[in-house]
This record gives sequence, C-alpha cells and structure tokens, in this order.
Amino acid sequence: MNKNQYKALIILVILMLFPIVASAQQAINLEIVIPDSYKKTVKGNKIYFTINLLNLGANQRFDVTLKYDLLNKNNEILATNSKTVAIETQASIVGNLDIPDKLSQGEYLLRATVFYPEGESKAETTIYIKEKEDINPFYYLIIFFVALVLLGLIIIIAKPIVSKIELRNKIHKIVKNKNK
Amino acid sequence: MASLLIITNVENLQNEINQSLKNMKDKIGIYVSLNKTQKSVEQIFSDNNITTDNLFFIDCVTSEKTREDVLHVNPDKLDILSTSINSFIKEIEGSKFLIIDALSTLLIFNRENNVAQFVKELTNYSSRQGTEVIAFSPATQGEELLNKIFNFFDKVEKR
Repeated sequence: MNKNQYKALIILVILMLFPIVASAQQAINLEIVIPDSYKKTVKGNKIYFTINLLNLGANQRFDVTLKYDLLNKNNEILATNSKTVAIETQASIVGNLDIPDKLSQGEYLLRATVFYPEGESKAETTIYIKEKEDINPFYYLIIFFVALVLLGLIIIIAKPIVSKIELRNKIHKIVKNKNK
Repeated sequence: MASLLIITNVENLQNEINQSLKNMKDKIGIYVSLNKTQKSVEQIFSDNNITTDNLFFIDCVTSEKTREDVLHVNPDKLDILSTSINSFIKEIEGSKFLIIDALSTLLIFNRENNVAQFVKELTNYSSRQGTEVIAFSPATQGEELLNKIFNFFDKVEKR
C-alpha cells in the first residue's frame, strides 16, 4: 500500500465512523418519575410526573419535543400530550396527562418519548387506574346524624351559658331602672 | 363584719329580719326570699315601717311575676341563684348587703352538700366584693347543714 492509498483508507475509516460520533453527540437519556400519589389514580383525574432528561452528547443547547402517551395492554394510545423544551446538559420537566373518563380499571402504560434532531428516546412506566369512588349514601346519613348530635351537644352546652347572660342582662336592667 | 349567720327560733325569725333591715336602712340590699313571697315580705315590712325602696328582691317562693324589678328563681337551681346574687352584688354600686331569710329552706330542694357549697361560694364572693351577708335560719331546721356551714361565716349568733 502506497502513501496515497494509506491516506484514502484513513479518510474512508473517518467517514465511516463520523455518523456514529454525530449520533452519539445527540443521545438523550430519559427517565419518568411518578410520585406515589399518582401511581394509583382515578379515571378522569390529571396525573403529574417528572421527566428527567440528560444530554449525553455535546454541550449544545437545542430544542426537543416531549410526548407523553397513555397506552393499554394492546399498545393503543388512549391519551396523549406533548410539549417542546430546550435542553443543554440536563433538564427536569413536569409533565401531565389527563386520564380519560371512559377507561376501565386496570394497569396502563405511561410512555414518554423525547424527539431530538438526530433521533428519539423512550421511557415507560406503569400506572394503575381506578374507578371513581362513588360515596355511599349511607355515609351522608352518618354525617347527618353526627352533625345532628354535635348540634344537640352545642345547644346543651350553650343553653345554660345563654341563660346566664340573659339573667345578668335582666339584673343589669333591674338595677339600672331602680337607680334612675 | 362581712358575714353573719343568725340562728333563731321560727317565731322570732321575722322580728330578727326586720331588726337587721332597720339597721341597714342607709345601704342598698339584696333580699333572697326563701320562705315567703316577695309580696307578703313587702307587706310585713310595710306594716313595720321598713322601706323597701333600697331593696332588690329575689323571690324563690313563687314564679308568678308581679313586678318587673323582682327576680324569680327556682330554689332548686342553686347555680342560677348564685349567679343572680353575684350579678346583683356586681351591679349595685356602693355599700350593700345581702339577706337570706331562711337558709335551711334550701335543703328541701337541694342536697345538703350542694347547699353547703353554695353558701361557701356565696360568702367568699360577698367577702371579696365587700358585701355584708346576713343569713337567717330557724334553729329547728337543718342542724347538719348548720354544722357544715357555720365555719363559712365570720360570725354565728344564736338568738
């Protein structure tokens, strides 16, 4: 191999490696963190979670699009939301998603996807969606009776106090009138 | 003297009350009537030329309201009676006195210990407020009570 051939080989190798290096410059690590209070949620509610983004590539500020999807076991998207954010080295973004009313109770997948110029990264976690808890009318009855008992107690306690105040006022008037 | 308990026989009781009132003619008084209605007490005083202009009546015998300036208190409601007396003492300005015409009558409507406690609180409060207390009791009634309460008075006289 002569000198020119050797140079051409080096250039070829560099050209072959360049896309890999370029791709590595744009790689973003993605993580979803859901607070415990939203890991089990009721349908119709809004859930909040944190997306942690870590730019593994160059320290260069650029825009990325975040997409959040709620999926069932068949990978069908049931709800979606997205936002665009700027990232340099790392970022924590609070995301939210409205849970539809018409879902049945069970486990669902929350998927976050970050789209950046050279690709996309995904992260997933599961959440459990519960039925709305209808308040039993019996509870209303209990609350009503408790309120009634409390009211009765207040009246029983307050009655002698009110009577004494009235008595003092009456005596005040008697003395005042006699002093006239 | 802040408090005096006069124990006397039933026949002499009214005369003793009359005499005490005559001695207090320059002061304003609270008269707790436990064995006669306010109306009959006033009649007796009138017959004995005792003016009642300076007297505030608490009638514990009848609940029939005859005058606006007379307070009617059920004798079994010691707390109400106590509040009434204390309020009168508080409201009346200047030199004042309190007369209870038959302390032992309270035993008909209340437990002995409750009456003793009532008397203790009453004499304490009157003493703090500078009010002279004269309580009467027939000698034949409530000896047990009298034994319990005589210590609460500054002076006890048997007449």
